[in-house]
Amino acid sequence: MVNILLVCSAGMSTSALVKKMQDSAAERGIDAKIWAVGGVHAENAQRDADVVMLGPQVSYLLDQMKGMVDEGKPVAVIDMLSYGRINGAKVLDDALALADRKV
Amino acid sequence: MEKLTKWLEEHFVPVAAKIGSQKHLVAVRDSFIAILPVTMTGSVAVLFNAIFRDLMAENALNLPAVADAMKWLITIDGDVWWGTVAMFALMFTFSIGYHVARVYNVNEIAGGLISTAAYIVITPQTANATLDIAEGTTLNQSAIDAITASGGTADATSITLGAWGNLNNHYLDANGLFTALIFGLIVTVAFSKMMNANLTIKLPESVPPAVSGAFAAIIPGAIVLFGAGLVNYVLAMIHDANPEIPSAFADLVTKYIQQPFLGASQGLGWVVLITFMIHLLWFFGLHGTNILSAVLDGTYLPALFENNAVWEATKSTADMPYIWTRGSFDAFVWQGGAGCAITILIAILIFSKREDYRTIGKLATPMSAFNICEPVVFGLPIVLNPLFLIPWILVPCVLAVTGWFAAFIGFVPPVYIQVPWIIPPIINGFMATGFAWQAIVISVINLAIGIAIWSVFIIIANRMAAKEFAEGVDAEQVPEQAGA
Repeated sequence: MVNILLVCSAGMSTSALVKKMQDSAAERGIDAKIWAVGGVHAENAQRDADVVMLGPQVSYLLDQMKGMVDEGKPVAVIDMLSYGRINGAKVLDDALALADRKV
Repeated sequence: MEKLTKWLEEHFVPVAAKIGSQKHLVAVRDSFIAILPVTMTGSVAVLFNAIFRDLMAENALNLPAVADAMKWLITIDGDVWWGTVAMFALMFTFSIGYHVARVYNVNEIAGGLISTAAYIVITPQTANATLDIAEGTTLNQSAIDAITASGGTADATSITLGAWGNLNNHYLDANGLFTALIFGLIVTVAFSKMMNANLTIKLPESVPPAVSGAFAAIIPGAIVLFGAGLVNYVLAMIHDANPEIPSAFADLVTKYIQQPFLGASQGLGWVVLITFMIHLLWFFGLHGTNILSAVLDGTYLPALFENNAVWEATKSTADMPYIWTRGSFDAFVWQGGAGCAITILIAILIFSKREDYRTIGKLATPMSAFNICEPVVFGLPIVLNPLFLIPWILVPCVLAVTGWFAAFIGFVPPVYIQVPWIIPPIINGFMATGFAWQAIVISVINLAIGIAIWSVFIIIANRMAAKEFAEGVDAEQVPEQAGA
C-alpha cells in the first residue's frame, strides 16, 4: 500500500490527474491511495502520505513543504508536461520511484 | 527574447517565489480562503434574492406571484446575509488571528480569539439610530430642545439617538476589512512573538499541565488587549483636540488607507498592471492568482462587498462606489482560467494543424469550461514558450481594458455578487452582475477578441511546425524543449 498526496492551490486542477493515476494504478494492480488537497490543508494531509507531490504551479511551496512534512518523507514537484497533459501513468511512476527511494 | 526570459527567471521568479511563501502573506491568503464558505454562502443568499425578489420585481420580469410565493426564502436570505456578508470583517479578524498564530506555531484558537477581542476593543460601543418623523407632522422647538438636552440630536423631521452597548455593522462588514487585516496582523504577530519569547506565567511543576497551559497566554494576551485599549484612548484624546480626526481606529483606517487605496485600485492602470503581473507569473509556471491573492482579494473583495451593501440598501446598481471588483477579473478577464484559456483552446480547435496541440485542445477544454487553466499552461505548454509569451500576456491585458471601459462608461453594471470561481464563462459574469444581460455581451465580445488574437499565433505555430518538419525536426519534440 502506497499513499500518494498531490498538492495544488485549491485541489481542483489536480483532481483530474488523481483520477488518471488511480486508473493507472488499478490497471497495474497496484494498491495505492491517491488524493489531492489545496496547499492550506497540506500540513494535516501529509501525515497519511508516503510521498508528497506538488503541482508545478505551486512549486514555490517546495521548501515550505519540505520543512512541514515528517522527517525523511519525499517531497517533489510533478513534471510539468506530465501534469499538463494529465499523464497519470507517468506521474504514478515518478511517485512510486520516490516512495522506493525512501526505503 | 531569450535574454529577457533568462533575466526574469533569475531575478523575478525568485522574488515571486519568496512572496508566494512569505509567512505573513501566506497567513493573509489562507485567511481569505478559510472564510470562503461563509462569504460564499452569503453570496448564495444574495443570489437567491437577486432571482426571487429583484428579478421578479415590477421593473424586471414583473412576476409578483413568484416573489410572493418565495417570500419565506427571501426572509431567510436576509438573515443568512446578516450573519455572513454583513459580518465579513468580524469573520476575517478571527481568521487572520488564527492563521498568523499558525505560521508562528502558537496556539491557533488563542490567536483567533485575541485578534477578535482586540478588534472589538477598538470598535465603537455606541450605535446611532435615526427616527424619521412621519410625514405631515413636525417637531416643535421645545421638543427639539428637550431631545438635544438629553444628549440626542434632532431637527423638525428627524431624531438621532445614540445607544450604548451596540456594535454597528458598518464596522463589521467589508468596510472594516482593512482594519481587521491591519490590526489583526499587528495584534497577532505581537501576541505570537511574546508567546514564542516565553513571556508567560511560569507555574510550579506541581500544577497540572492543562492548568498552566491556560495561564500561558495570559500575559501576552493582556498586553495586546490593553495595548488595543490604549490605542483607543489615545485616539479619543486626539479626536478631542482635533475633531477632524476620527476617534475610531476603523474610521481612521477607512479615511486614510482604505478609501485612497480602493479609489486607486479602480483606475485602469492598476487593473491592467495586476493582470499583467499575474500572467507574467503564470508564464514562469507559478500560480500568479494565488501569489498575488493578498493584493487581489485584499483590495477588490472589499470593493465587491461594499457594492453588495449598496445593493441591499438601495436595490440599484446606480450608486455603487466601485466599478471594478474581485469578480470582474473572473467574469471578464480570465474566462476559462488564467490567460482567458478557453480562447486559446477554441483557437486551437479551429485553426491548429498540430496533432499535439489538438490533443491538448480536446483534453483541456472540459476543464477550461470550469475555469481550470493548468492543462493549457503546463500541457501546451505556455510556460517559458517564447512563441506564446506575447499573446499570453497581451490577451488578458486587452480584455481588462475592454472590460474596464464597459464598466467605466456604465454599459455593464459593477460586479457585486461573489460567485464561485468554477462557474463557467459567460454565466459567471451574468450571475456576478445580478443577471445583467450586458455582462453576457461583454463576456462574448471579450471571448471573441481573445480567440482572434490567439488564432494569429496558433497559425504561426502551424507554420513553424511545418518548417521544422521540413527541416527534419520532430514537431512533437518542440514543446518538450520549450518546457525543459
